[in-house]
Amino acid sequence: MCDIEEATNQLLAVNLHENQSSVQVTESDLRSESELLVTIGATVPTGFEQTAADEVREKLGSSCKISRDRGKIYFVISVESLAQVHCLRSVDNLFVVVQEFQDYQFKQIKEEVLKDFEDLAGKLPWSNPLKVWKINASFKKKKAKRKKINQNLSKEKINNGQEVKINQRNVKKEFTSHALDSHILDYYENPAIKEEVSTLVGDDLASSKDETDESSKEETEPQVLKFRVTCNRAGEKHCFTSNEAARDFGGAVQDYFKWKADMTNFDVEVLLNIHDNEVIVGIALTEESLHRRNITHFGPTTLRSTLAYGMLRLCDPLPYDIIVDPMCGTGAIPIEGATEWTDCFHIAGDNNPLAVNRAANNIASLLTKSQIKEGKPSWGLPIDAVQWDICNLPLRTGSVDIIVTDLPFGKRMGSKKRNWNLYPACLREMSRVCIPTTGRAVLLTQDTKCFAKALSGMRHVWRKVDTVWVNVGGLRAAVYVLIRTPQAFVHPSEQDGEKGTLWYKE
Amino acid sequence: MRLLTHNFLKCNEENCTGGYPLQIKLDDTSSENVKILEQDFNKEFVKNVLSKVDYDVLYNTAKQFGISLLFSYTSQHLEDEGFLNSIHHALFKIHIMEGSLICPQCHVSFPIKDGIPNMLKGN
Repeated sequence: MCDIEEATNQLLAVNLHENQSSVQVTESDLRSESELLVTIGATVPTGFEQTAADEVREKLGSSCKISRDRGKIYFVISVESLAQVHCLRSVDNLFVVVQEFQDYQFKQIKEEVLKDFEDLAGKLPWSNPLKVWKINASFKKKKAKRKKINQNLSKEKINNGQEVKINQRNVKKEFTSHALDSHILDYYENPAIKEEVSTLVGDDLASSKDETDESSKEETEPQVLKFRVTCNRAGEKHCFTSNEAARDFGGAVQDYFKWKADMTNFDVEVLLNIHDNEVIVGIALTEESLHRRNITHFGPTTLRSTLAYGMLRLCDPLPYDIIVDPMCGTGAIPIEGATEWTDCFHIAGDNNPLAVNRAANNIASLLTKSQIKEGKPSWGLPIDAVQWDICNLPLRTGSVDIIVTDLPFGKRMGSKKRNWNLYPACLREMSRVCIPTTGRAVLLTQDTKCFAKALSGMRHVWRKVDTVWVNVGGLRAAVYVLIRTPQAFVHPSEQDGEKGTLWYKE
Repeated sequence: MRLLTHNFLKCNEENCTGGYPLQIKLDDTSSENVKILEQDFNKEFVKNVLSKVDYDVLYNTAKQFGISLLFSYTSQHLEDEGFLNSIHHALFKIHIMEGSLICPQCHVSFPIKDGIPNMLKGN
């Protein structure tokens, strides 16, 4: 059970209590507090909408609507489940839906469209979503407090004798550069569709910025909320920009609530998502993307945890599976695996000593987090790290259930030319160590041409069952799901299969 | 590196056949060459993972670290928590931190540093 679930329960109890003592409370108010249903929107890695929907069904029992606006799913939950929503591993960001317009009729003239947005602000059902926002805000305060304590403690623990630095500034820098990457034009999008992101510029509307500390924020309830509006617009037929929409809608929101506009130090982030004729107004529930959660030590091409989680789900891990990432880099995938699929055993390998060390450091950081959380002295996670060469794995033949990895794209790591030799060699070696018939591999790559060619020569050992097109740091990539055929591995030089490569145990 | 991982590792030197199991040699100069870490005991996991490991190798390797497992087991033993606990201890809780893995066939030595074995060629 998440710690934040306890927080919700406490807060709900408080709210109910408040209602009971208030004179104006009606019975329906009392009932509605605990049964309040809300629609939550979540942004997920493009291409993984279905896996995210599966996780939601599995963990929250809700079915999802997958939006036409790719990378977003919607589901309905009761407010009591809000804490569990934060435990979802496949979502990057969460928001509560204020209102959804399936077929919004945009007027043809810009001034009229913008006037409609202004009028809209006062007509929306803000009340319940704001309640949800408030409950959610209390989670974040508790989490932020705990995070600070964790980071200080883990700094002490890890800095013993090792050249390990949890450099918070680097963490933020890496994060923002990747956040920007995801706004770069998505190759997969129709080039005719323009996509814009704009936030309400609060300069002319904001008054003095208070430099309040997080701790003082907790003590004194802010009298006036600070907000900003973020508008995402995609579509060919709009006669306005996201900037304009954000500005005018934001202006009306400010008039309606008397909030202060603030670009950086906001309490409430209002979202205006426009995709062709679909308009969705929401309030953000997450501040920073959840996708960096497990990694404290970044490498040059660290994979988003949400993407790693999605890939692992595609593997369909069964309990007791042996799961190997033979090119683990900073260990994003095996670490996500070790925390979420604790009844499997994960092996993280890489040829680069820096990478293996980073992976080991990330594992150590995780251990520290769970040590503090559960008060356990030193517990192990089901994961080991090895330094090895993917083309010559020091693993027994037919011993691994699942191989899941992020193949070098040839852009930021490695080279395209190198891939022509590397990919076939990888596929061959992976087919050797993978258990025939039941084994499977889930492989991410941007060099899809090279991969397709390499795979075509390996049909006797690998059968492709699925391809998921994704967007990784602005690059179009694919996740291939392969099943190992029943064909046993035969060493190319063998005639009768006599040389001593071990068979898998029956 | 746990004994579970060791159970899957073999020598990958060219032309080396039968480089399994690798012999574990501890680094005597190091102050903490072996660590024992607690780990959640998952009964089903231990039962099922047993069918994936080479039991003889596990038996012999565990002996090296003072764990005497049953020489062989039957399906009845799989319900005995004492037996499963001993397997759990051997597979999961022993961490080799400093030492080397030596191929019984070609005698190449792969170093283990800070719990991570380096299996790259030309060591």
